[in-house]
Amino acid sequence: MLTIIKYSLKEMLNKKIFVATLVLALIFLGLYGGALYMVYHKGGNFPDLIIRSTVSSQLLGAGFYFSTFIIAFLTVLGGIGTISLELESGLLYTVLTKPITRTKFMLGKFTGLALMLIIFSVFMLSSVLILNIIMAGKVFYNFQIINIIKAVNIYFLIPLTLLAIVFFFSTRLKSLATGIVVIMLFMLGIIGGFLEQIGVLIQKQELVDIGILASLISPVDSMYRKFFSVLYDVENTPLSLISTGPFGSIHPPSGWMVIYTIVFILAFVTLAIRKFNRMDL
Amino acid sequence: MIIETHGLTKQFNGSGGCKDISLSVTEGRIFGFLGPNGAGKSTFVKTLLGLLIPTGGQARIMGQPIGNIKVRSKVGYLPELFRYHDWLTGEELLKYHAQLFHLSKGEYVKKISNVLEIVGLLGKEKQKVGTYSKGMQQRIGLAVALINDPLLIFLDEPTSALDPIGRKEVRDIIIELKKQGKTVFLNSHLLSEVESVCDEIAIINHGNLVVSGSWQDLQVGELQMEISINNYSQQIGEKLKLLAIKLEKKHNNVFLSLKNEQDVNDALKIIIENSGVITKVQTKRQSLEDLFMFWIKKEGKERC
Ligand SMILES: Nc1ncnc2c1ncn2[C@@H]1O[C@H](COP(=O)(O)OP(=O)(O)OP(=O)(O)O)[C@@H](O)[C@H]1O
Ligand SMILES: [Mg+2]
Repeated sequence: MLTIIKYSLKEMLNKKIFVATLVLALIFLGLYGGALYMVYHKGGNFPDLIIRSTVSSQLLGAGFYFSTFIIAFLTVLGGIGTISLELESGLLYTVLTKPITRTKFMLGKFTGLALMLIIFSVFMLSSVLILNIIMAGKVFYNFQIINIIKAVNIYFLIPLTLLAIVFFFSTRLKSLATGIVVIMLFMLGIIGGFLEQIGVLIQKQELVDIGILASLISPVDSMYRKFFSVLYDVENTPLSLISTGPFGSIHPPSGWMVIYTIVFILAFVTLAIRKFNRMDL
Repeated sequence: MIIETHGLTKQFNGSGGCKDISLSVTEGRIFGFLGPNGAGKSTFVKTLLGLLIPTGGQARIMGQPIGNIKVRSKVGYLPELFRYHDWLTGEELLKYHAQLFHLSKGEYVKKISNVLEIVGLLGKEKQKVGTYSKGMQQRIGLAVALINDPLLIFLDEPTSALDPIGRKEVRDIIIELKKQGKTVFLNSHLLSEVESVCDEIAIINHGNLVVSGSWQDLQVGELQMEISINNYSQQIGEKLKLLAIKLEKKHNNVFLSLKNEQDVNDALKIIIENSGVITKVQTKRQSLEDLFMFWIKKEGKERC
């Protein structure tokens, strides 16, 4: 299994898609850094610490939010490249006749890809955070190490959810169809998240319900909002107000949602493995 | 028996594939599995290797049921549609497969250059597999199949992409494997290839096993014999006619069709006893091609 993990990682790093994503990420970080510079150094002063902090939280939120898109892009395309396409191309004939069970093969693939995505997520999150700290100067950050660790771990559930969905559909559909379905599920989560936020804002319960339903089908966006609220420790800080806005969360998902997401991932991976074990190659 | 199958069946939604195949392969033999395109050869091998889930019957490899993990470390496989991780170099690919077999570094470093030499890719190992020609890819596939020093090797049309020299080389590799006591299961529709190396064959058509056995068992019909005789006499002719199924004479040459090998001796005895002088004798069995056509046609007739 170690061999599979190692070579999945290696394969990913060798794929053009990885290089493309990295270039995209660097362009994004460059633009984002430029925008921060404009706001903090050219866009007039915000003398009030609270206002300054609110602006900063919005900018930080935007940075994290768009990083999620890049990470999702890498997850979907990378996952399809290393699982769906391999299943279709006959590349596995010689691998799955080796002394390794199909279950271990799938777990190894998942672990290898997950590791890579986690490393990439850490890179994106810390780049965005560091850019903010450098550019913003004096801002009120109330990040405690424990919150950062908790938040980042929740953040990892975003690519892992998508990866689990990719695995699930790879064993059932062709690679192109898998890509389309997973991207649609990702978008569903995003739109559901927005609807829920708007619903809370204008106090329309129907919208909130639709949003909740969408996030049960695709818990990606909920995990993003949970991440952001844990980072700002919304539940315990009176200043939680500063973290609201389009990229924050007025109404953060509960801890149960995190557990739901973990179960969701485990279920999808288990179903993928079960199907894979009964499949003709 | 290194391979034993009992009614092994793999069909795709009730059609195609292979049906009810019972055969056994003796250790240390080269077994040729023959059949026209779409007969079910690859399906059978992929089912034996656990890549396809059987829809019926049983099979044992080295005494273990299909899918046994331990047995796999002693099996090599060259698939018919060989696709490998094209972003690896030849050497890295072999290393990857060696690691999948849990070989240690000390074991695989030597083995890699060894198999590269066997398949004639030495000097090309630093090149990416994606840049290999089709024939080179088949060769690296063969190297992958040999990396674990297997006892049993499945080769699914191992020469489909090779030039005539390559084909000869692969034949020699197969014969060499036999000398080392390995068992080779060879899928092919290239009859000449099978003819020159196989000890035993099975013929499959439309998913059904038509016939299987050793060369001897499969021989059907008569044996052709050509004898050149000086001072041929009427008497010799009369007596040979009683023995042979068919007799033809051209100049000094007599062409006989005999029932089997035993009659060869009798024919020669008749000539010598009747003071004929033999200058040349030649017997000819049916070629594999004749055999193949015979059995395939027979199967076709039985189906109608
Ligand atoms: N995945 C599949 N789904 C449906 N039918 C299949 C599948 N694979 C093979 N078949 C059918 O099973 C039959 C046997 O195919 P197989 O590939 O085993 O033939 P083969 O003897 O290896 O032929 P060839 O000499 O062309 O390689 C064919 O009729 C084929 O159409
Ligand atoms: Mg075939």
